Amino acid sequence: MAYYLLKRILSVIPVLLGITIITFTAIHLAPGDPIRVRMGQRYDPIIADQLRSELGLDKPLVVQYFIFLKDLARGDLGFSYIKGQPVTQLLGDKFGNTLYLSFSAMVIAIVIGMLAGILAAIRPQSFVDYLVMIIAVAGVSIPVFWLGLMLQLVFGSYLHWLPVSGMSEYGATIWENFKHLILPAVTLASVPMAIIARITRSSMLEVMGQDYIRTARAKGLGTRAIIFRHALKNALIPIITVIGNMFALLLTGAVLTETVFSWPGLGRAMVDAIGQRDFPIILGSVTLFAVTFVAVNLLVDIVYAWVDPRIRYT
Amino acid sequence: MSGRAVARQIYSTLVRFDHNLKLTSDLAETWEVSPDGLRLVFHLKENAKFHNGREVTAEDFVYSFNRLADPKTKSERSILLRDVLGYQEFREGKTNRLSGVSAADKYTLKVELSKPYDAFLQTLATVSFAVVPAEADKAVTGGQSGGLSRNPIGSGPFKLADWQPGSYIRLEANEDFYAGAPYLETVVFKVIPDCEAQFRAYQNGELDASNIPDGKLKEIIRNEELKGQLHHNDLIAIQFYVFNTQREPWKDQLFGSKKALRQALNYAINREYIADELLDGRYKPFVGIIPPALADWYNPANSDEPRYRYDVDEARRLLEVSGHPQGLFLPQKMQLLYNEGSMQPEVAGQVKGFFGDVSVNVEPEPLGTAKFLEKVHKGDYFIAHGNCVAEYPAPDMFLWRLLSSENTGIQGNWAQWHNDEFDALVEQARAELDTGKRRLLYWQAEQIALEEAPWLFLFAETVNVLIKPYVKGIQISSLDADASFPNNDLSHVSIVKTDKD
Repeated sequence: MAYYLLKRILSVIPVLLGITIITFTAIHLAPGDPIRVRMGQRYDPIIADQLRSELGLDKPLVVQYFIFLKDLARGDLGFSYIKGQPVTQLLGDKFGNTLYLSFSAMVIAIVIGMLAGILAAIRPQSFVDYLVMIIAVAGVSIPVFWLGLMLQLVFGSYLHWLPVSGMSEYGATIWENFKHLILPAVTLASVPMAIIARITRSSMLEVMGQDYIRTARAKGLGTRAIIFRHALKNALIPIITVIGNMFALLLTGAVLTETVFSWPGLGRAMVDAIGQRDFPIILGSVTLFAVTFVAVNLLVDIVYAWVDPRIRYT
Repeated sequence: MSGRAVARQIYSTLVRFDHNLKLTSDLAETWEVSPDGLRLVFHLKENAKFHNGREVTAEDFVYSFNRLADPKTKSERSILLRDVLGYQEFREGKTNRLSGVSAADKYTLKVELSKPYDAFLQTLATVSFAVVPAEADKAVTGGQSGGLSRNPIGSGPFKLADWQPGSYIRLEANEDFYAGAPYLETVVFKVIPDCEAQFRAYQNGELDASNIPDGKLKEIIRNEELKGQLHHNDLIAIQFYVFNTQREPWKDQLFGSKKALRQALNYAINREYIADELLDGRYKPFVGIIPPALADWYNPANSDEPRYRYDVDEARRLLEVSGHPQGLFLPQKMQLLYNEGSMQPEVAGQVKGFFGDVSVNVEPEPLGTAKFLEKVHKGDYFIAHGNCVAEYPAPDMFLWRLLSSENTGIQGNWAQWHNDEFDALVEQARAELDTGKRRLLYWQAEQIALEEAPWLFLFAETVNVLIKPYVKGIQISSLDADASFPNNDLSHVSIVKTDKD
């Protein structure tokens, strides 16, 4: 296992190298000069040249890339061209905000999605089953931004129950924090919740038909014990795969939700940076996303082994 | 939200504008300008303190002006000091300070100009000329210099309390403010880039003031509750398209001007229709360069008898005169560049339609900011969208900056238009001390530009914002371009809620 882990962690290096080379090349090939964006209509060629030299933009691309790599190895992602602040500091907060939102959405998706899936699987073809599946299909089909807008209209504009923009301010109460989180988290949770409900249902249905479940029933175990002690654990493997993939997708896919709810997250920061050609922020965000993707996938593999002792890694 | 608006609350300047755009005192108690317009003396208030508790003195202004001019600061706004004595020498590294700025004593600041500049006093009211304490500017925090960009220390009515980039900026009252502590204990500027999201947050009671999304103005006017919260004013800002006069077909030839072609297109569009139907009435049709909101300088003849009205026959006639009857010999497709943003696709689409009516084909091409500026910088366009929002109420913001040969290119004159007579008049006006004569010189220059038509003249802008009824004391001026109120001193603003609120 330790060898496997080491191998997986080391395999991140070529992945990161590849991603950074592609991103670096793409942003430099795209038209648009960050200095022009920064100076706008007050562009002055002399000051622009000074800035280019200070930011290292006058060096050959290969040299710029190796400087980026050298700094990256020390955990330094450079300074934002536009905001002039360290990228690690700027993105650190935003990555935390995106993690907070995505993790909350994932908890909602797992708890409600799995419960709904189990309920549907216990009584297949029943009213509950149909209802869960209709909601699940709707959850997958409704665009996230539309759902977000509708939730804002209902719970914000009409009922005035919940805030519709941004995070709570520093020093706010836990309740205030929670109120700001509810609508974006539920919006972001909608798609994974629906997928988890569908996967849980089909996986549970398959397991519930197995002989050992019949045996468990025959020896007189209660429904709750059968479901949670026997059926669910065996039905978990495909669910965990989906959850792992979903979490990685949630992190990177949160940008729409972040935009609708003005949530100061990493996705929004990256989109803004692309518009402004703020290269260090773009590279920093892509690197962070890549590391997170790989880390989540690794975590999923480890959890497999814990759930299913038959799986062994070499 | 504008960064300028936040800076306005944290920092102080020598002078500032009131809501009628009259210059008024900020840290300068009084000031005098010599009859030749070359020497300005400011007598400072003696009770002003920075947020770190230290007294503000004339030496701090000397430091702040030098900081702005210093090539090491790399400020694109240093050009505002262009006419201060010693500026060129300082920029070229021949001296290590601005010789024209000095402290006569602790509370007296002297500024000498190399030549008179009519709007210099007004530029001093912009936050570029805010006074900063040297010790905070040079402070090294966390191993990084440039302390002010992270920990701004000013002498304004509010202090920075909390800054979450991309989320919000929270300011708290400066109890030691020279004019007395502000009424509000806290002001929060929220970063909500999407205007629709701002509006929803406003309706939900999360914001006390908000901008209005495109297409919502008429709906708000029909809504009894929101109508009372709507505040409207003319803005010192214009919208136009530039013809790239260094490129065919707009380029004047050795034996013939292309003025008639550019004029023809100015006759071909119906500005009233576009403004009323598409732009919700928030833009006003305007054929001119000095906008109506710049009341002291605006030429009313531009409203009474606009140089161009919608006249398809006249447009066709001028096309013939220019050698392009029925759009003959014009490029098949000419790109009309615009920066993706507010209402631009609709305007570009309409312009394409009106041009099509006189057989001139243009193709709207929306671009992101970076790509748009790149193309403008390279001069790689036939027609491009331009706009100008004034930071200070002076005609040179428009005539000199947007059309003088000195500013050719990305700095302002995107049309790359050159006219010696225009340049001479504008330069003469900038140095003219008599207001009446100066106005006439600017009007003459404006008429030349209108006649030569380097632009497709379009609109003057208005500002429309929503403010909750319990917010008292905000006076919207023609410099307040959005709901962050960059020209307002929020120390006079208070919140008076009743049971209804």
